[in-house]
Amino acid sequence: MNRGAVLILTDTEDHTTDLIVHALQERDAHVVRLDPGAGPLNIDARLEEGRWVGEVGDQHRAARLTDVVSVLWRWPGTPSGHPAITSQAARAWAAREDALSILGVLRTLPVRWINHPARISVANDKPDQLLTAQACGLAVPPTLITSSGVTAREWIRRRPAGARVLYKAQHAQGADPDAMVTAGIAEAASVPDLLAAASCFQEVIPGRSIRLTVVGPKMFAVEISGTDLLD
Amino acid sequence: MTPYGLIHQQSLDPAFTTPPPNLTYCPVRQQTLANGVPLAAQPDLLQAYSVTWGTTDKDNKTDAGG
Repeated sequence: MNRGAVLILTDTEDHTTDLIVHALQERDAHVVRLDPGAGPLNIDARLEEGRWVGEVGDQHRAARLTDVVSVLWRWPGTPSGHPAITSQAARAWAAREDALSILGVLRTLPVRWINHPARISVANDKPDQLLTAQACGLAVPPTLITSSGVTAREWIRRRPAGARVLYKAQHAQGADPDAMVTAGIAEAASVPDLLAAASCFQEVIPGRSIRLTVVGPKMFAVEISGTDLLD
Repeated sequence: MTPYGLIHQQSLDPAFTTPPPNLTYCPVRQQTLANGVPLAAQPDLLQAYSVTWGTTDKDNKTDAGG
C-alpha cells in the first residue's frame, strides 16, 4: 500500500522540525527530510503528462515525486554545489543550477504545502502585511517608511500629544550573525538627517500585545506580558 | 556611518547563540539526538535548547526569517 510521503525541506539544526518528524514517525508516516544545503541532492525528474515525475533525495533516502502527499517547507539550506568541484566559480554556478532545478521541480508538486515558498515570500512582505491587515479591518497605526531623517523627525513631531513612535526593521536579523534588530522607541531628537537605509516608523498602539496565529478558520491568541519592551 | 536602524540592534545572549553540546543530527532517524536519544523525546532538554540558538536569521517567531 502506498502510504504517501511527507517531504520536509529544512536544515539539520531545526529542532522544531525534530518534533514534527518524531510525531509523524510515531504515527508510522513515511517521512523524507532533506536539506539542500547539507550536500548535493540527487534528482531524476521527467516531465510527463503535465507534471514532474521521478525521484529526489540525498545519500540516505529518496522520495518518489508522485508519492509525495505534502511538503513542509521550513528552512531549507541553500545548495552550495558539489564538493568535488574545485573551481569556486564553477561550484557557485552548479549550486545555482541545483537550486533552480531541484527546488524548482519541488515547488511544482500539486500537494498540500505548509507553506509554499511563493506564499511565504508574499506573506513576508511587511508593507503588504499592513495593507492586508487594514483590508481585514484591523487597526493599523499611522506608518512611515522613509530614507529621510528630516521627514521622519517632522512626522514623529506631528503625532498626537502623548503618542509614542517606534522604529521597526523589515527583517529581524541584525548586521552581526548573533544580533537582532528589535522594535524600539524612536525619539525625534535622536533621528539623524541621514538614516542610511529605508526606515519604518509607526505610532505605538497602546494596550495589550497579542500574538495571533491563524490556521484556516481557527485562531490561536497569546497575550504577551511580563515586559515593557515592544518586541 | 552606521544606518540609523542598527541603533536598535541587540546582541543575543550566548545562551541562545552557542550550540548546545552533545547534539548530533542522525540522518537515519532524521532527527537530532541528545546522548543517543531523540531530542524531541526529551521536552525539558528541547525547551532548554531554544530553537533559535545560533540561528537568529531563522528566528522561530517568524518563519523564513522575518
